[in-house]
Amino acid sequence: MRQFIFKVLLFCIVFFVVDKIFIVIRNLAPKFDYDRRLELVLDGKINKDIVIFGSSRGQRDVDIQLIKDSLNIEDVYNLSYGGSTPEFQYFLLDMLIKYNKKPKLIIKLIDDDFEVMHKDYQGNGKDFRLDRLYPLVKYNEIQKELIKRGEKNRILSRLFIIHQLNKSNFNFKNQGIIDTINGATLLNGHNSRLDWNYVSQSSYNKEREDSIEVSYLIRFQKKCNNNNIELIFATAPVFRKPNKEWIESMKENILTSTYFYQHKLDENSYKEKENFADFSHLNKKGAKIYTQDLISFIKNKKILYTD
Amino acid sequence: MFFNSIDFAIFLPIVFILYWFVFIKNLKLQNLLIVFASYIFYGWWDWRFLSLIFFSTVVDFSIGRALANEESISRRKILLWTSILVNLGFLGFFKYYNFFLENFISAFLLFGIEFKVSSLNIVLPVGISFYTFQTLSYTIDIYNKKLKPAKNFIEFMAFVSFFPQLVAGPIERATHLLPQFYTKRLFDYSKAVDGLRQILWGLFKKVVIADNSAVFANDIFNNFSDYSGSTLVLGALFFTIQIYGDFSGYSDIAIGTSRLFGFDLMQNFAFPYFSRDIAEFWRRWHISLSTWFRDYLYIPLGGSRGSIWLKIRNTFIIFIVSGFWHGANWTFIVWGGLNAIYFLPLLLTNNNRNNIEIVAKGKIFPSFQESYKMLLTFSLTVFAWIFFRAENIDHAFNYIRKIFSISILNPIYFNSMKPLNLIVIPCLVFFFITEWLGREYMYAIEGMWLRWNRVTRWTFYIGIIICLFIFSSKEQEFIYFQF
Repeated sequence: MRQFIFKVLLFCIVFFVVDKIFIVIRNLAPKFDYDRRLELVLDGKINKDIVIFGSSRGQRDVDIQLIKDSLNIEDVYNLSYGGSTPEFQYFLLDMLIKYNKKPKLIIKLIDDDFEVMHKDYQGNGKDFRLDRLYPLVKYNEIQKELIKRGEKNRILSRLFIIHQLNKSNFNFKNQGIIDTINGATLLNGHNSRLDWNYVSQSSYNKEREDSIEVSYLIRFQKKCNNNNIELIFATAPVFRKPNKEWIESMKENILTSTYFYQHKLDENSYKEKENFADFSHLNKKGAKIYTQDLISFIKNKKILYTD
Repeated sequence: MFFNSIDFAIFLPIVFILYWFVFIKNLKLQNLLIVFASYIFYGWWDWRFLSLIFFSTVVDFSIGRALANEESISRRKILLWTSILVNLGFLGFFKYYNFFLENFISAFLLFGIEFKVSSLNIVLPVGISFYTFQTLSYTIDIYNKKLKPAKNFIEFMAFVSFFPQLVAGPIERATHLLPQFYTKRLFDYSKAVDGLRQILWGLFKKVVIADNSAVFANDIFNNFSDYSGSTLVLGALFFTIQIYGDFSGYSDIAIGTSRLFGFDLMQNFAFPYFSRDIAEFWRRWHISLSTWFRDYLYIPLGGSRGSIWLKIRNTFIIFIVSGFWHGANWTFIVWGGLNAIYFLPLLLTNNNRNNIEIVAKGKIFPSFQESYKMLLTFSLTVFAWIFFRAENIDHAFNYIRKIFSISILNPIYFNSMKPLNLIVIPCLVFFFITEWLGREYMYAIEGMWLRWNRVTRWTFYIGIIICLFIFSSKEQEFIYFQF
């Protein structure tokens, strides 16, 4: 028995020592990451006046340079993450406000028609982007979030470095794809292999909404309001007839302090396939048209620096 | 409490230390500790269902004692049937009530008769199918005079609730496990080390192999209409890996944990995917359940003796009941029936016991013929698992229809096919090679590393633990908990 206990303890000590080697991987992981925007947020380097939030549509559909030029504001940044949920975007907002100068305006693109739809009903489900968190586990805030979400255990995280890591820390490919200066990734061209039919969408089923995501959508607005940040919720065009039922449903979740920008539903540009990269995302050409419309809205509503 | 949880990682050493250091000199106290620990282990999930286990224990203990003192055949039968009805009654209510109700309503609707009975929101107690079968074996064995009843209630409680195998087996026979509670356990160093090694391998199978294969399998099965036939084949393959890793991993952890406490449990999986025919597969897959059905259902029905029709009937009964045991869904029944169809030709041509020994014993590589047979058996198994995994019969048939469509020629693509997820592929390759090389042992890494020196062995163990940490996410429930 003594021999058994002794050997088990000895093994634990050896493992404890070996585990510390992983400090190197943990600390180097952010450098190998393909998207370093969250790291910049945590380091307090996103001190921008206008920040774009959203999922992949936020990333693809907004032309940052056009906003800079049209509004004559240099500090514009895109913090949209493809496939991210309102909960993840709320987490980002929280980190942004905590470690950086508060932005004056946030434009958040909302997804027609699955912004708050439950994950089970989305074919290509949105998620809380844990893969964006893991490369940054050297930051306490990230560790805390992973523990809070039940991904990691508090005691084990303290004891073992390896427990803080995940397979995401070993994904060294494609580093530096995302432009860290503007945070945007506009798409070129147009996918001609798709079957480009401008069709209507199926009716919107409110029962498929995820109440947790709805609550984060509301918390997002309240947080902006409490921090005196102007907020625009903007719908983005898709290559389908807009889902009006969804728009009405979304309006129920929008607070009075939030501006609601509904893109021009009858605008012909949004019915032309040449302006889209695929059914869900605009290409560079389409993004220019959409961003110009968004800028006009900001100017008309006299938000921020507009004359 | 899950085996793959931090709670269990704290619970196990505490119980181990109390068991071997505090209660070592008193067998009764050791058994009492096992009962106490087992009830905590189970109650961690839902304490309300402890009463169900306790009630079942009291009933079977009392009936066992009564059976031993009863000579009258008719009264013995009444006692036996009381035990069967109580145990299967609970199982039937919790597991099958809604299934029968819904099918009853649907059947009458066919004749235009409408019943307005709403189904109940019933929570299935974890492990009910496992401990019910274990206690049933106790009563039936006493009835058949193969076993003497337990004299001490605590010993019997420990037998019914023994935490390593309480919620997902192996389903132990009273004749094997119960006597182990009567005798003093002595600490055996090599047995304990072997137990830890088996726990480690079981965790690897569950956390690295099963849970990561599940990411692909769930994606493909849930979105099958979006994917090509070739992708769906891959989905079925991933589920095949998942279910083996999940369930055999659980069994390994259960057996390994028992060994730490000086108990021996039966082997539950003997490398079933290396089988050369379906009969061999069923001798190697979920052995404790297969042999349970063989001993308590198949043989009493006449087994493989009698006319051809009797053989066919008995084979279908055992496989369909086995399928239904897994869950209240037609998919499990079809899965059972399909396996019966696979098995029957072997039985009827007396070829069902051709492959008793493990394949290519003493060799590294199998022969061409063995490889062909293994591949064929594996393919049949993969096909049958589609029914097991599908949500319902429609889902299964649509999935299969799509596999056999022209899209099978299309390239493989699925949403979760990302570099990040595909990191697990080398682990799957390592897993299959290790399982193959260790197939002559009770579990894959039992004997392979004995000839290695300590540094190499420990490096290997540390490598496995690192994989456990890197590939783990939230605690994932074991598939067989739902059965």
